[in-house]
Amino acid sequence: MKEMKSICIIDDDKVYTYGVKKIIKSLTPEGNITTFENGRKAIEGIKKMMEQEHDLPDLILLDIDMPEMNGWDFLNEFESIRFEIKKAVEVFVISSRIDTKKQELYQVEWDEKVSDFIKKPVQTETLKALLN
Amino acid sequence: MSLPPQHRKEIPKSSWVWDIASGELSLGLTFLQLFGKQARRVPDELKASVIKVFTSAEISEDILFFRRTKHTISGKDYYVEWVGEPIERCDEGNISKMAGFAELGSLRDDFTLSLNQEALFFSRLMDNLRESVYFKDLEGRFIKANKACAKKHGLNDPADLVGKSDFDLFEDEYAQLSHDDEQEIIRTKKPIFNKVEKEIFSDGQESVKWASTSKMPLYDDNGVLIGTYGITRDITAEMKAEERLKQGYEMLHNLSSHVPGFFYMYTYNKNGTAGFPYASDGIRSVYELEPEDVKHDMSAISDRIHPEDRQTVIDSLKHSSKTLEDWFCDYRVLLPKRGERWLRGQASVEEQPAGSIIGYGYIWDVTERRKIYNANMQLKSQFQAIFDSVPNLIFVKDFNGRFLMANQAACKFFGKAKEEIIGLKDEDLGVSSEMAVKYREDDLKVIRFGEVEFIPEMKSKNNSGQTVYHQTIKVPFVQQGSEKNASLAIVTDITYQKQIEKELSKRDVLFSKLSQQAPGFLYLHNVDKDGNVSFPFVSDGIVDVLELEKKELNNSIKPLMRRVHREDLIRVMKSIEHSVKTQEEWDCEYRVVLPNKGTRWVKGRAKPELQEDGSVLSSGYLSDITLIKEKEYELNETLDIVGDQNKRLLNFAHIVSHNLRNHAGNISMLISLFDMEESEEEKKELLKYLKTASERLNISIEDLNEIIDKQYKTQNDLKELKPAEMIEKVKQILVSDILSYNVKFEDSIDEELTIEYNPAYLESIMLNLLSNAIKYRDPDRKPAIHINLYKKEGHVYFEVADNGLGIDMEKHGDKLFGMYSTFHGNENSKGIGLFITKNQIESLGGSITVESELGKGTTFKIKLT
Repeated sequence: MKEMKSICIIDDDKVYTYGVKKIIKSLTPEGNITTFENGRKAIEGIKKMMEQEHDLPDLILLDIDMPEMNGWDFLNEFESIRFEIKKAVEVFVISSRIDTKKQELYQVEWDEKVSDFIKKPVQTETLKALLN
Repeated sequence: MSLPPQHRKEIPKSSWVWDIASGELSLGLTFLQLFGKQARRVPDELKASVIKVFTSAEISEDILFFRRTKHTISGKDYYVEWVGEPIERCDEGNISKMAGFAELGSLRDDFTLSLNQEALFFSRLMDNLRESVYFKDLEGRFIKANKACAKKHGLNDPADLVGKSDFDLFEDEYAQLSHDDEQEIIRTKKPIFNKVEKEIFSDGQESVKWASTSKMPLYDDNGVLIGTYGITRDITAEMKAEERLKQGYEMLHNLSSHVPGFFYMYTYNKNGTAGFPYASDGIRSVYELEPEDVKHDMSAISDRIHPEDRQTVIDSLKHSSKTLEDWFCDYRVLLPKRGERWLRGQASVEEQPAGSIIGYGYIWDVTERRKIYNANMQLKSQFQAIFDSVPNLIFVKDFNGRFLMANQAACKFFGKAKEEIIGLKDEDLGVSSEMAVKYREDDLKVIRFGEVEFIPEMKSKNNSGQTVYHQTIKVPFVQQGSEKNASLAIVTDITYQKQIEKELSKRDVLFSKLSQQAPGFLYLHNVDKDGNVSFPFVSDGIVDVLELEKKELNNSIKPLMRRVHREDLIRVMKSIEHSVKTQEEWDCEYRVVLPNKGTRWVKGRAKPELQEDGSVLSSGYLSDITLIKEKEYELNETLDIVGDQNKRLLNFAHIVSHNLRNHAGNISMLISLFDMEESEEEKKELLKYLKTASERLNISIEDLNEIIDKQYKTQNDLKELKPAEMIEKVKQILVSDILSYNVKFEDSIDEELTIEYNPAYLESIMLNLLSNAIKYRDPDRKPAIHINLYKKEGHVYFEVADNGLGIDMEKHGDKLFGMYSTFHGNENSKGIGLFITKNQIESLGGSITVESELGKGTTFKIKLT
C-alpha cells in the first residue's frame, strides 16, 4: 500500500474526478495523481511528461464519452507513443456506456491495450484493488 | 358533166386600178381587147357606169370583190366581170385603192340560165358545201338553195325549197327576225356578215341550232336588186365547244371572221398533168395564189405546202384517185405573207371516161381551229404524262364496263400493256367474279346517277397474290361522242398506310394505356443540325401535365419553357442543351407554373440519340411529381419530428444509462466520502460537489419527463383506418418508380381490415419499406414484391417481401435497425429509415423482424398491433 504509484485520471465529469481523486489519496497518500478533462489534453500532457522526463503514470483511468477526443481515440493515439514509455502502463476503461455484450467485443479488440473495463459508478473497493 | 378546160382559156383579161378617194378608174391597155375588134376606144360613159356598180355594195376585205357590168358596144351587149382586192389603205385604215382584173363574162341575162355548164358547175360546188347557201326573192321566198340547205330543213331535193319562205321553215319569232334582216338589206342594200343566231325550227326538230349567217343583196345582170342571197353555217358544235372550253368566243371569232376557203375543181390526167381548172378567189387568201397560177400547174400549190406534209398530201391524193374515195386531208402550208397555216381539204372524186380524174372540193384554213385542237391535244398529252407519273391507278371504264383508258400504274397493277387493256373488262384482268360484280355495281352507280362514289377501303389481292388495300374515288366521266357516261376511277394503294396505321394504333393503345396510368406524357423531341426543333410525337397527357395542347408546341420548345418556373428556367434549359449536345440522359426535376393548377413539380427524363442525319432525337417522359414531392416534404418533416424524437430517445438512453447512473454514482460516492471526512473544510467542499451532482440529476429527470410526455402525446394521435387503403396510397406515391422499373406486385391484402393507428406513422412505415424494396432491387431480376396484410391471433401483420439484393444478416443484422456510431442526422437514409420505422412501430406497441438472404431477397414482418 505504501508503494509509490503515479495515477492519471482522464474524465470530463468534475464531480467524479474530485471524488475518485479523494478516494485514491486516502488509499495512497504518497501517490501522484494527474487529471485531464479529455483525450486530447491527456495525450498532450503525457507527451510533455515524456519530454521533461517526469514520472509517467503507472495507471490510467480512462472515460469513454468525452468532448474533443473520446476514450477510444485516445487509446489509438496512445498506442503510437506507448512503446517510447520505458515502463508498463496499465489502462482501465471506466465508463457508464459499457454493456456486457459490448464489453466482450471490446475485450477481444482491446485485449492487449486495456487491462479491464470498469462500469461506473466505480466502487471504492474496486479502486483499492486497482492500486495494488 | 365537166367543164372543158379550154373553155375560158382564150378569154383575155385586163388589169384595172380604182382609186376610191378620187373616184378615178384606170383601165389597162388590154381592156379594149376584151371586146375584140369591136371597140376602138373606151366609151366615155363606161367608167362612170362601172364605178356606179362598184359602189353598189360594201367593199370588204373579207368578201370577194366581184362585180358584173353590162356594156353595149357597137350595138352588141357585153358582160364584163370585175374581180379585185384592196391594194392600199388610207391613214384611217379604210380601203383607198382597189385593183384587179376584168374579163369578159358569159352572155347571160339572168340567173335562170342554169343550164349553162358554168352554172351547173357552180351548183355542184354549192352542193358540196356544208354551209347552207340560198337565194331569195324580194319577198323572202327561196329561188334556189343548195343541198346542205335542203338537208338542214329535212328535204332531199333543193328544188322542194323553191317558193317557200322562212316562215314555213322556222319558228315565227326567228323567221320574223330573219325576214327583217333581209328586208333591211333590200332597203339599205347593205350586207350582213357573220351574224350569229339561234335558229329555232318550226317542226320542233332538234330545238336549237347555232348558225352564223352572212346575207347580201342579190342583183340581176343589169344591176337590178332582185332579192338576197346568203350563206349560213351551222356552228352548233363550235358553240358547244365554246361552252366547254370557254374559248368559244375567240374560236368563233377566228373561224367566222376568216374567209371560209375556196372551191375548186381539180383534174388529174392520165399523162400526169394536173391542175385546178377552177379555183374560186378564196385561193388568194388561203394559198396566197391567183387562180390563174394553178390552172394548169400544180407546182405553185405544191411549193406552198409544208415540206413535211407534202408527201402526205400527194399520197392522199393518189390514194383518193385510185380508190375514188373522198379526199380528206389536213396539212400545213407556208405562205409568203401569213407564214405557216393549217389547211383542211376535202373533195369528192370522179373518174372520167377518158381515164382522167376530176375532183370537186373545198379547201379552207383551219389554223385557228387547229390551235384549239392542238391546245387540247397538248393538254391531253400533259394529262396523260401526269396520269402516268402518279402512283395512283387511274382508269376509265365505259358503260359496258370495258376499259377505255388506263394509266401506267393501273396497267402495271393488272399486268397488261396499255394497248392490251383497252376494251377488256374486270373479269378479263383476273379480278375474281365476286369482286368484278362489286366493282360493276359501283361503276353503274356512278354512271347512272352521275354521282361521285368514294370507297374508303377495299381489300383485294394483286396479281402476285398479296393482300392489298385500296382507296377508290369513282367519278362520272363524260365520254365524247356518247350520251352515256363512263366512270373514271382513281385508286390509291393504302396498304402501307394501313400497316403503319395498324402499328400506330397498336402503339397508340399502348401509349394511351401508359399515359392513363402514368401521371405524365411521352414525347419525341427532335433537334436537327441547324437547331430546328420539332415534336414528332406527344401523347395526350401533356394537357394534364402542362395544360398545353399538342398543337401549341408548333415546332418550338418555347411553349414548354414558358411554363417553367422562373427560378428553375436557366437550370432546365441548360440541362436540356447539355443533354442534346452530349447525348447524355436528361433527368431533371423542376417547377412549372400552370394557368389553372398553379405551381407544380414535374420530373422529366429523356434519352437522346444521334440520328444518321445529324439530328438528335430524344424520347422522353415528363410527369407531375407534385404528390411525390409533397410526400417527400412530409416525410422529411416526419423525419425531422422523428429525428427529434430519436435525438430525445438517444438522450433518454444517454440519460438513463449514463447521466442518471453517473449522477447517482457520483452522489453516493460523495456521500460515502462525506461520511469518512473529518475536516470541516473538506466537508464543505464535498457538499458543494454534492449540490452540483444533485442539480444535474434534477435536470436530467426533467428532460426525461419532457420526452415521456411527447412520446405519450404521439401515441394518442390515433385514428381508425384501413391499412389496405394506405397501401394503395403509398403505391400511388411510388407510381413513377413502379412504372419505370416495371415492378410486379403479388398482393394478398385483407381489404376490410381496420386498425387504430397513427396515420402518419403507418404511411411512413409502408412508404419506407416499399421504397426500400424497390430501391434495393436486383438489377438482374424483374422486381417482384409481395405485400401481405392479415390478422392472426388478434394481431394485425403487415409483410413486405421482395426479390431484391438481400442483406448479409450475419454481418449487418444487428446494425439494420440501429444507429451507427457515425450517425449524423440525415446522412444515411437507409439507416435512419429503418431506425425510424422500428421506433415508430415499437412506439405504438408493435414489432418488426427481418429475414433476408443475400441474392434472394428480404422479408420484413411487422406486427402492427
